[in-house]
Amino acid sequence: MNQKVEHDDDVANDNHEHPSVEFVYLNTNAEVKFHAKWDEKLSLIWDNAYNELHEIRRPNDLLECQSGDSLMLHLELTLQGLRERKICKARKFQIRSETGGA
Amino acid sequence: MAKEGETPVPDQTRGAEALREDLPKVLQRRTLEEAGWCQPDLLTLLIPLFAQRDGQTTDFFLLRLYFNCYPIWPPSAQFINPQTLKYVVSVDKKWLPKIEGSPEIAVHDNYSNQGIQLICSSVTLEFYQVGHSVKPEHIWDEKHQNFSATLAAIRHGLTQSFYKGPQEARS
Repeated sequence: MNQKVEHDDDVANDNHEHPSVEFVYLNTNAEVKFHAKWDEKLSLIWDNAYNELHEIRRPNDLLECQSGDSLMLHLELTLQGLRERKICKARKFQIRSETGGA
Repeated sequence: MAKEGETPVPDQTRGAEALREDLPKVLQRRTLEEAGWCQPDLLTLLIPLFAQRDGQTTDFFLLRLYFNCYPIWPPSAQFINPQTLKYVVSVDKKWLPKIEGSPEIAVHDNYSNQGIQLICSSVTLEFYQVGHSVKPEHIWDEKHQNFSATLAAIRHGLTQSFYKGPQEARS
């Protein structure tokens, strides 16, 4: 669960064939970093992140950029599509579980 | 494991052990000092939080997490007066953030006139202590959550989408 992120700065390397992506699981603050493909959809990469985190998706999970902006309307975009639209350019994502309250 | 309708039972030994185990996970590569946090005793964390409103004004809040029922239940979470390190109903309202429009979290200065502050979210102990209704998917799950979830929910409430300033003007 606690695979550490290597801070090698290659996340910004847009020319890499298999760009790295980073995920933080806010329920535990666990981090993972792995390589994806430009033509992979964000939804698939999100699924892969659970495997890397050794976690299961909760029904109330939300995918966000680490800026806090929701990505739930962009799950069908590929990494290439995200890049072209300048969405979450650093490819640093976070998984947040919706809570009850208010 | 937490269940709706059950009353949380304190276990300070277990809480201290769990905090000691989870603290490095939540801090990641930082020390307490680097994070700006303080641990005055084995069961307590003091965490400064900042919230921005109107795109320019930044307000400071001090969050106290207390782990006496942890990890079976989430930590107690209270905003406190940074000068007294306490929260007194009707005196310290200015040290509470006003969070509006979020379906996930709110902050009540005197919940149901019971004389208690309630950060109304399923990742705080008080939420269960007051017997708040909760959907099954929102119930605290110690196997897949630690107090990072509590911080994430509160920080989400303090984003500009929901944060409207202190609950009372600060002089």
